[in-house]
Amino acid sequence: MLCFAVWRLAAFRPEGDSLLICGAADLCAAGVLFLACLPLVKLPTVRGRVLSRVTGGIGAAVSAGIFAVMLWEAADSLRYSFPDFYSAPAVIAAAGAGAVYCASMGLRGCARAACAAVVMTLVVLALLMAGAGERFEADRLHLAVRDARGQFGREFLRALVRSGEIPLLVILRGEVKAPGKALAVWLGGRALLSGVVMTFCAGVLGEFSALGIPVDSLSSYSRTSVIERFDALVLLVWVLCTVLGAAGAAAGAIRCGKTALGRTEIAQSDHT
Amino acid sequence: MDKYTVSPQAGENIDGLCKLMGGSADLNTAQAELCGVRCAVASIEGMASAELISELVLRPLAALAPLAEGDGKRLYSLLTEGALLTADRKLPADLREAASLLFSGFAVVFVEGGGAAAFGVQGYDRKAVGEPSSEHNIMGSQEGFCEALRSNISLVRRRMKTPSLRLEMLTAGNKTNTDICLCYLSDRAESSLICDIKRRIRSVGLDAVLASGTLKPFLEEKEGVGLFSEVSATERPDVVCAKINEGRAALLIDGTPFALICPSLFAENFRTVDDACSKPYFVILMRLIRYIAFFFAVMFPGIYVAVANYHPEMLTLKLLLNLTASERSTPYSLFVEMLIITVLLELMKEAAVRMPKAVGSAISIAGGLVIGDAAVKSGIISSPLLIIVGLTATASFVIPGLSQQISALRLVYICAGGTAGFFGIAVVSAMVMTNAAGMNDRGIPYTAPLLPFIRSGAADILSRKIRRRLEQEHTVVSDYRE
Repeated sequence: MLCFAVWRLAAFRPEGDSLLICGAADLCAAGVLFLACLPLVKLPTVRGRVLSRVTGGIGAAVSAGIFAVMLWEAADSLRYSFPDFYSAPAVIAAAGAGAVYCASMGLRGCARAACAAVVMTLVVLALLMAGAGERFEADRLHLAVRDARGQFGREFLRALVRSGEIPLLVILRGEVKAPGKALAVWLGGRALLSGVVMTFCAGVLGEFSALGIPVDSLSSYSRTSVIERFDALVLLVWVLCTVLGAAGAAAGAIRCGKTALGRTEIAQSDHT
Repeated sequence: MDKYTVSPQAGENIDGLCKLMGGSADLNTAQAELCGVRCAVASIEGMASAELISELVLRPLAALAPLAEGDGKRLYSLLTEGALLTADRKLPADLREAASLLFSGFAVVFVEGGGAAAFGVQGYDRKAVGEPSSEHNIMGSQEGFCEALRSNISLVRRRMKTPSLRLEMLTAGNKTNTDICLCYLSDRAESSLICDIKRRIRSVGLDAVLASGTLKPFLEEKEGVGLFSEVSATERPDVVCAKINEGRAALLIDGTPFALICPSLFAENFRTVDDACSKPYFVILMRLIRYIAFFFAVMFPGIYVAVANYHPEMLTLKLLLNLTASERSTPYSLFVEMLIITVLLELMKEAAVRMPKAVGSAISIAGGLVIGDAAVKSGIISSPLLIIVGLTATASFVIPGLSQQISALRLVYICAGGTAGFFGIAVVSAMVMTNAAGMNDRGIPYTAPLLPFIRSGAADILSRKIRRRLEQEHTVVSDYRE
C-alpha cells in the first residue's frame, strides 16, 4: 500500500496553482477513505458459495482495473518525463509482465519486496532533498491563491477516485493479518511522505511546483557532487513501486478470480 | 528359503557372496578349519585394512577357537558375546546386508553352525584433513572437510562435545548407496525440520549420489523457481558447528568435502568466521563492504550501460566528456561491448576452474594481459568499460556463496539496462526482489530477519552481537518463522 502512495506521489500532477493545496486535498481524501474503509476491512470474508463467487468476480474486475490504470499511468508519466525513450505499449508490456511474474511469486513475496522498495524510495528522496536543500526558501510556500476552495475540491475528488489501494485492501483483507493496522500505517506513511515531499517541492520550485510533475521537476533541480541530476534514480524507485503495486493488484485479481471459479487458497501476510 | 539367507555352512556363504557380487575382483575371501570348526572371512580390498583384520579378527578368532572345543555355535557365541574385538560390530541378517557392510569396510566372519558377524576394520585410502580450498579465513580454524565421511563426522564431534549432538546415518542413491550423516542438536533443531529432511533424503530416487550438489534440489522447497537456494554448502567443520548451534541441520555426504546446511538465509552469505573474532565496528565495516560488493558485482555493469545510453544527465560534465571520448573510438555500441566482455570474463573464469593448475599462469597472462590490453589498444573495447568489468569481477569473488547468482543476474541486468535503461533495471529488480523475498524454507523466510523485519535478529545483519548479548540471548533459526 505504501508502494501505491509512492507511485501516486512520484507521478502526482496537481490541478491548479498551488501544490500545497493540492497536497492537502490529497491527504484529506486519504483521511476520509481511512474512516470510510476502516469498518469495511474488518468485515469477515464472505461465506456462501454463490455470494463468494459473485464477490470474487467483482473483486477480480476491480483488481484488474486497478492493475490496468497503474500501468496506463506509468506509461503516461514515462512518456511525459522521458519522451525520447519509452513507448507506451513497450512500457505497459514490460511492467505488466514484471508485475504478473511478481504476483506469481505470491502476495507475501510482493509485500516483503514492497517494504524494501519503500525503504529504497525513502533513501532516494532523502538524497534528492539533500541535493536540492540549498534552493529551499520558506517564502515560496505561499498559500494565498485564487479559488483555493475550488482547487481543493477538484483535487479531493480526483484523489478519491485514484486511491486504488483502498479497494484492494478491502478485497485482500482475508490475506492480511491486521488490515486495520495496515490501513493506519498507510495513512500515516502517506501523510508524512506527501507532506514532506510536497512542502519541499513547493519551497524549492515556488510557483513552478504546480506545473507538470513536481517530483520530476525537483529531481532535475537536485544535484550532489557525484550525481548531477536525480531523474533516473527517481524513475528507478518509482517504476519499482509501480511494478510491485501492480503486482499486488494482479495478485488480488488472481485470488478473486480463483474465488469466482471456486478455487481458493488462503495465505496471510502482515505487511503493508 | 531365500537364496541370500546366511547358511550354516561357511563355504556356502562365501559362494553366495561371490554370486551376489558377480565374482567381483576386489572380494577377498579366506577359509580355514580352526580346531574342527570351519570358518570363513570376507573383506573388500582397499576398503578394509589387512593389518586390522589380522590384529582384530583373525588373531582373536584363532585364540578363541580352542575354547569352543569344536562347537561352531559356541565359537560364534564367544566371538560375538564373549569378546570385544572391535567397537563397531554388527550381525548381518542375510548376505545382502553382509555385502553392504563389506562395501563400508567391514570384515565379515562366517562360522560353521553359528552365523555371520561383521567387524569394522575400515582402512581405505583417504585424503588427509587439509585447509578448505574455497573458504579461507584469517583467525579461525584452518581445517576443512575431506572426502571420507567418518573423518568429517569426527571433525564435527571434536568441536561439539555435547550429548545433544545427533548423528544419524541415512543412505541415498539406488546404485551408489551413498552414506549420509544428518547432524543436528536435539535441543535446538525443530523436530519437524529433521523429519522433513529425513523424508526428503529417503525419497531421493537417483541411482547415483556422488556430490553434495546432487542432493540440493531434493532439499529445496521450490526447486527450479527460486533464483537463490535455501540450502548452502560449506567445507568448514566450524561453520557446520555454528549453524547446527543455531538450530539448523547439516548433511555430511560420503565422498564429498562439502556439507549441506538447511535452512540457509540470504544474510548468511555476508557473514564469515572471522566476524566472531573481530571488533563490532570492524564487522560493520566489512559487512557493508560485502553488501556493496554484491551490489557492484550484480548491478554495476547494467547501471553503467543504462546511464551511458539512457541517462547521461546523471553524470558530471567532466566524467561524461571522458566517457564520450573513450567510447567514440570503439566500433560497437556500449551494450554490445559490455555483453562481449562479460561473456569473455565468464569464459575465463570457467577456464580457470577447469584447467590443470600447471597452466594456470598461462591463462592469467593470456586473459588478463593479452586479451585485455590488446582489446583496448586495438580500439575494440574502451578502457572505462574494462575498469568496470575488472571491478565487478573482483567484487564477485567477495561472496563465493552467491557466485552463480551473481554471474547470471549480471547478464540479466546488462540486458535490462541496455534495452530499457533504469526502467528495465527497476522491472528486473522488482522481479528479483520478489523472487528472493517470496522464498520460504519450511516456513522460514529466506530474506529474514530483514524482510520481514525481525527485531531480535536485525542486529546480526550489519554487525555481530556484543559479548553480553551473545551470552544472554541465543537466536535459533526457527525464531524467524512467520
